Amino acid sequence: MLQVQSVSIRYGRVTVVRDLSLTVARGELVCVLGQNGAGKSSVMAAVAGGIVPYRGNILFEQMPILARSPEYIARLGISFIPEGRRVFPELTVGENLLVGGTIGRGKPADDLNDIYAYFPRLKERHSAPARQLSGGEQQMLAIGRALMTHPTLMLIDEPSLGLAPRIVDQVYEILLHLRNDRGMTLLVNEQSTTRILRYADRIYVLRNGSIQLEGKTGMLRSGDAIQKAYFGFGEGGASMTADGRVA
Amino acid sequence: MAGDRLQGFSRIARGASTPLLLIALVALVTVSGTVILPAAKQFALTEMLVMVVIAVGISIFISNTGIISFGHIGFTCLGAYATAWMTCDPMWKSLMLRDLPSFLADSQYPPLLAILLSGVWAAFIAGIFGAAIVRLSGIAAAIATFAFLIIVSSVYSNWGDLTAGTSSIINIPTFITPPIAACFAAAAIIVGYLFRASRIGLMLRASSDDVIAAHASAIPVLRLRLLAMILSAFVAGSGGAIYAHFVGILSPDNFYLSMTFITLAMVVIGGIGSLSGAVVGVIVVTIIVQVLRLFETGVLLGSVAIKLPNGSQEVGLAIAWILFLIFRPRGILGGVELCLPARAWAHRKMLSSHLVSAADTPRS
Amino acid sequence: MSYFVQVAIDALSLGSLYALAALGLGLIFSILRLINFAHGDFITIGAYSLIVPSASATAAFFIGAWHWYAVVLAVCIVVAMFALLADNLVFRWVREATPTTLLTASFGVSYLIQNSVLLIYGARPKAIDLWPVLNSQLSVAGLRIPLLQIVTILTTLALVTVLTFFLKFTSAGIQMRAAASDFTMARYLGVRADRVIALAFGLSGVLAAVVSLLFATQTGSLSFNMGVPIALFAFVATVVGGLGSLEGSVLGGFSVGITMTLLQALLPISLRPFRDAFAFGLILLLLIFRPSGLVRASALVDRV
Repeated sequence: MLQVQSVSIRYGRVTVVRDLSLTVARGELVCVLGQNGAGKSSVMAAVAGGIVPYRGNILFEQMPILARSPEYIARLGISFIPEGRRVFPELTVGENLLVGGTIGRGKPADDLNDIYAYFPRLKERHSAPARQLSGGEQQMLAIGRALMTHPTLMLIDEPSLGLAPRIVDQVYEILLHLRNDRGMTLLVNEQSTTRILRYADRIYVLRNGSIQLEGKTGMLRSGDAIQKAYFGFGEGGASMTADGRVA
Repeated sequence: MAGDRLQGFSRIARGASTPLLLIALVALVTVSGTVILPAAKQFALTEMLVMVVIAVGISIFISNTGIISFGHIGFTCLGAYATAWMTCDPMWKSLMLRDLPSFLADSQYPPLLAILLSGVWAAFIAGIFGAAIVRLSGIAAAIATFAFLIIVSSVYSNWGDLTAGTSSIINIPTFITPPIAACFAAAAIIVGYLFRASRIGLMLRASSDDVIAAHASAIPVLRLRLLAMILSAFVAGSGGAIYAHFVGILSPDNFYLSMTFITLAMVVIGGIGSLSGAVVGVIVVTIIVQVLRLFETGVLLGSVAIKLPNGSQEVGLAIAWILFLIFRPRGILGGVELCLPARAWAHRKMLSSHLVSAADTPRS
Repeated sequence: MSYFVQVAIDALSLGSLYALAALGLGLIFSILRLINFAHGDFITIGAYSLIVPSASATAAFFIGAWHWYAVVLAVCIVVAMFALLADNLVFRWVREATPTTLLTASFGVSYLIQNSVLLIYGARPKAIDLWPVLNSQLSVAGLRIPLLQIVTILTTLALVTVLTFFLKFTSAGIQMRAAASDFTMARYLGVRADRVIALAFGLSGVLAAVVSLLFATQTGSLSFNMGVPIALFAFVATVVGGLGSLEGSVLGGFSVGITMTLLQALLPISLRPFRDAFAFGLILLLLIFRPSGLVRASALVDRV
């Protein structure tokens, strides 16, 4: 469904992503693992249209989308939830959701009810300004808002950032539910390796702008290979515990 | 420390081709102007040379700190009136400018001294104003400088007993001929260059690129900015004084939005990042304006008479300015200093400003 | 007592005018980070569109002669179109630039408009007599209040209400607020950047047009730089109110109007001409001590 082909991204003179290729097939939940600065946010932003790579191709359903505007890409069915949720703080919960309804595939009222059914918490707080929400609630809002655009592919940058473990579990449950019951395709960036291995179909490990490792989660369970790829050979300091946690 | 001194001197010496080239350029323009142009047009030539002084003054601040100032014409105004206070006939002063303190009203100072003191006066005010706003970020600082311009203009327009308000001050001794103006321009260029090439200038330009790193390296960014503002005000203020002795008549309207637009256009078109940009900008803009002025009076091309309506010079300049801002925000010189080809690279890296473009994208 | 009421209405009326102008500025700034110095010149364009283009000292009405509905509509359309033109020709090309560069660009546009008007219409101010009925005075409870002041206040209230309604309850309005809050994020959600920007310039133009009509009726005169003082005070108003906040712009406008009227009334006669200096001195103080403005919008506060 999504093909990133040999993409390179540069900020001024600094190359942050080097000749990177990855694919996401329909209905998959793919995870890109990497530390801060590894380049994963840049890749996602490039797919969503916020950044223009200086080299490479990006294809969505066989259509080239490199350098297209973010609003065009949103209308194709790709929805991007950037790092930090980025809800509109002064707008209410309801208004945040309505912005997602701009594309106008369905009727806004119906869509809203749909989202509220999914996230009852949001319905309770629908007239509160978004800045008053807790981290977990904001994440729900961000996801709900993205769902309002009727995407077929969702790009989520570090959904667990700054959230308590219990909330992270809830978020992942939702993502899993979206994949299983709605046939949503998901590309997720993460730093912490543990939980995502439970949910992802395939993972890529990114370091310094290029892919060090990729494979189906089942086959990579050992953790050792992931650790090496994540940190780089001989760079460790951290170790991987038995259940796959990086400490 | 002696090593630093030596390094400093050698750096200044290495880059010396820049001010020399610029002065040569100014000299060339002056000489060819005096020879080619009819007497009636010498006025424009002198005006251009005076503008070089003012533009260099503005550039000392903008190109080194990376902050665009809309208020430097306020300093020009301060300098112009200061020299008028010092050099006008005491009898006239006691009649028209009743609020003038006696040490000014009763005496008449030699013009050259007056010009120098006017620069100092502008620098003094810059010290006070600068100290207040030096902390402000880019856009806030720009707005503050704009406020300064308006305050100066408002005060000078309305304090009739000090400035004759909107009725002009007249009979200022005029003695500025093209060669004299050229000397002042050369002096301004030297001052501008020495500041750029000094350690202070270097540190300033480095910190305009990355304020956090600068703070971390113990560079006293705020103090340096203040210094840049004071020196730039001195030069711009002196430029104002020279202007006063050139036109002989002053009115606060001269030093308001119109002159601000023009000097800003000069600096932007020539290139915001460098001293050479300011000088080249003045020359280029003057040529554009003079050509348009020529067409305004009517020109015969072959057998076709072309006459542009009055006001075309300003419209033409505005269009040129906007086009440059869009298509070549770095200006004609692209923020680089003119220098001799030999040993050019080391010199360029040393002196070219990090603030190269008028359309610098924000770091996020 | 009646003197007090008179001053209060003066203040409100002046404040209304500045609030409208500041709103026009604020709309553009909130979305584009552009301080549009040319906004005053949009006002000038609106006023000049009333007359037949000519350089003579007496002005012949063109649009100004029509029925008042048509005048308002036509002037709004003219100014909105010029605003969109300014965006398309100039501002669109410097979208990625720093706020300072944008301000410089708007300076250039302002210079261009002023001198173009000068070129076409000449330098001499022209006298016009638009809607003379508004310059008559109402007798209310022993006070004589110019009808124009009432109209100004009411018009402002109406426009602010309509705008608030628009921003709060229409889809386009919510998109604009989202864009003002986080433009890139809004685009990721499918909000069309070009439409939102065009809408902002269009609305800004309409607001400028209304100001131009009120101002032209009040002063009865047109000059090529008539918009500059209004632009300057609208600018003060947006900074005072907090750059980036629309409520701040309105609040700022009224604050400036009230302050200027009070200064006029309370300053000793010898100091009155220095009103502008005082106003901008206040801005300076505000920038130094409270750069976020009255309504805490943080557009000017340094991140470092």
